[in-house]
Amino acid sequence: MTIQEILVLISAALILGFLFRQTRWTNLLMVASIILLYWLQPETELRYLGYWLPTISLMIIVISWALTASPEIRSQPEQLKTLAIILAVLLALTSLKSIDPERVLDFVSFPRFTSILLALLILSSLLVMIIRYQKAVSPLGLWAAFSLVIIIFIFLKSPALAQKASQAWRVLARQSPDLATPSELSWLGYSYLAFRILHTIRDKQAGRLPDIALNEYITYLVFFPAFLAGPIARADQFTSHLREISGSFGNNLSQGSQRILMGLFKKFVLADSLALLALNTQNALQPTSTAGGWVLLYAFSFQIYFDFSGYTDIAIGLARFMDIQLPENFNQPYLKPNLTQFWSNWHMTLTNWFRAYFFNPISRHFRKKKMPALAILFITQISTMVLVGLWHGITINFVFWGLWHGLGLLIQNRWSGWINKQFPPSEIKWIQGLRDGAGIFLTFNYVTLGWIWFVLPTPGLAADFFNVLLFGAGL
Amino acid sequence: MSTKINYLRLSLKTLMLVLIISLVLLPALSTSVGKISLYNWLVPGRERLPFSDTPQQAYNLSLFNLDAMFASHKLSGRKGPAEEYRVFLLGDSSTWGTLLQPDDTLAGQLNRLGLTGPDGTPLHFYNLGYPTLSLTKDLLLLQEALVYDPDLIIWLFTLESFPIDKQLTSPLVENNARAIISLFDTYALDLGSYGSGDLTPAYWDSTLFTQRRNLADIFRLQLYGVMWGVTGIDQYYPEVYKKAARDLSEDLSFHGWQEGEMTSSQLALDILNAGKEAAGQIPIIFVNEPILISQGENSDLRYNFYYPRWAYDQYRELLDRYSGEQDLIYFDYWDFVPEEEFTNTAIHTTPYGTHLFAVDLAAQIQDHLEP
Repeated sequence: MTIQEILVLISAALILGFLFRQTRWTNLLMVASIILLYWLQPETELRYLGYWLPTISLMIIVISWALTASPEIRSQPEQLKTLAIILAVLLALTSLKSIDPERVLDFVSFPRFTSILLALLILSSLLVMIIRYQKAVSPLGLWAAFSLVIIIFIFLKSPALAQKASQAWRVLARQSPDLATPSELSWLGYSYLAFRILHTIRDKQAGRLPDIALNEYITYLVFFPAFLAGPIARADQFTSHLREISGSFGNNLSQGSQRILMGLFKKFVLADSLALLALNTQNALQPTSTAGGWVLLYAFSFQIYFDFSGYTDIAIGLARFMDIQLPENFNQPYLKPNLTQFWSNWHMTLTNWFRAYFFNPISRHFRKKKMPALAILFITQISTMVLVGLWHGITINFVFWGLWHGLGLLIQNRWSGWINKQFPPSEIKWIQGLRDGAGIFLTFNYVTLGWIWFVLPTPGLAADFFNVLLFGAGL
Repeated sequence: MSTKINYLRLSLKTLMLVLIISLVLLPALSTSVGKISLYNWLVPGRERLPFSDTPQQAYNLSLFNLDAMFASHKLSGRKGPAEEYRVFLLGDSSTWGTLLQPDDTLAGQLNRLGLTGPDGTPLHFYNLGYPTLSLTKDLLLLQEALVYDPDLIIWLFTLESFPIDKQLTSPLVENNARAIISLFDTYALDLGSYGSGDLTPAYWDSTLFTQRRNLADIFRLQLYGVMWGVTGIDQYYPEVYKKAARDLSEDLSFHGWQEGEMTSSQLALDILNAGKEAAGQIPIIFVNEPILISQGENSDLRYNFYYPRWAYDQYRELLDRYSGEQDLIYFDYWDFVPEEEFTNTAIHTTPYGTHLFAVDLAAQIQDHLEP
């Protein structure tokens, strides 16, 4: 996101926060989030894809709500009213084509009005039918939606499949398929959207999902402060914040501003400065010394932290303006004495998501099968971390990154068990401080070395960079 | 205990602080901020002045703060009494070394020759060339370089740096209006209708708002210094580049002049003399640098992309006459480098072409240094 885009989001959050001093108008927040969803979506070479991706996001959201909401909620007249508002917003956005033909407002380009209208009519008819449907949705329907969200995710995150999808779109849009590239399929915020939808579907299946109205559900999924880079709030917590005003606008303004300023500093001063030095594909083999390689690596390690946690601070601050508390995502992760604690404090909402919906269920499954504890630990740690890696992209380097952390967690688990038995934590402050310091140093450097797999796209290049770190240049 | 915040008072205080920093403190600091540098203590000094259009690949950037530019050069790292004979090379991109590694530039090649002065003092050549063609830009850098105690200055140029209308078009000149006006006043330079009145510095130029780009560039230069230290790269070297044209157009005009229309008053020859005057007792060797002499289509009309034959021949005659009149030490290397030793323009030479030039120039320098 650019600083200009963030300034627009800050303005939107301030205006909405001011309006929400007494009453929260969820529909207004939903409308603002939808408009910003279209505004933030980058234009791609694929004709009209910039319009259709947010539109498909909305379609998936509304369908997943229809599948997860109880028949009682679905049959409430408010839901049809929300649907009508969404359609009105989409039609109003479409009219920008004639109001703002030069695209001064920087929205994506819109296709022909008739094709938009046709799509919206089909969708709304379908949704009205689902909403009016009196029975609960079958488990099969939920699993189908679950699978669809994951299949789209796999297409987007796998370069080969994204290339195919891009070619297919080009054929449909009468563009040359030979020019297709995977990066053209840039679906803004889909990773986070998918995880939020999967969370609601799994909670629905487990009977944990509270009743959520359509406007709340849409707002939860496309809430503009958190849409692009998280954090991934839980639906129940988010809606409870949405339903009540708990703080004064003055306090929210003060706390939100502090958080946003901190985020802007982290992102645009620290992270962007470090980006000039940080390890990347271009500079990986350019250092003339071992020390030079470490400089690039440490710069990347801090850059990714300040970048990501800066965005989180901005998101939390923006939400705060509107009296909504988003969950924390980072808690000094580089100052933790072991890898388990690192992962409990780095991208916490993603870690919690995987813990809740993957790690814990498969651990329980294996325990029921009476599998040995070490084998359970091995399988669950490795597979969870590989999946966390694949969430960033379905490429071999992210598999290696996941394996690096999975094995690290396993080794640390065994080592901690052994060392704590041999040398229990000391009550003497300086000895324990020394021990913690050594742990922090080892953990930070292990995580930092792991970033090599993350940032360099091929294992070969990563291996060459490890050589630079160990033996210097000229390899 | 709850503290009530007075937002109006807070906003006014913030505004006051911003105004004080922007309008008072920063203008006061702006004269010296460029001297604060990581170079030559935390990261090695650069071999040449910072310049690049592709910062992310070159780990280098073009900025216009002369203090910051010189502070990043290894020349600034030389402290105390010189145990070397310092030779400064001024010029355009061919002296700076476009497409050349630092060791392969003219200064780098001269250093590799290991020259010594008559008393055995080693000669050290410093590359102070800077891309863009303007003698005024060279004079500006010469003036700035004098504080680093040169023992000899070699000023290389080509005809394209001479036309009056080129003098103020270099971004470095445009962005150093105060220094240029001072030079024009000191040396009574006259650019005719292109006078220094075209440069209008204002107080507002030194406020935070107008200086933000300058400050950001200085900051980025420090960061790229780390990359320079780590990689030794200070320029983007494309694997493939377009070679300088050998087949030329039939156009015989030069800067809008037809054959016979170019006179000494249209060339900024007096800037050379201003340089000599600025250097005072420090000797200056003036060098007409090598150009590509094409053998391709229309090469009977033009030497290369830049020059019709008539214009360049006339320039050499004028320069020869002027150097005689002003008693300048002047060498003409215009046809010294073979055609195949030019790279992407008619003045950029290959490492070997630069080597040929350096060897001969070294002999001239040593002759000059003989007692």
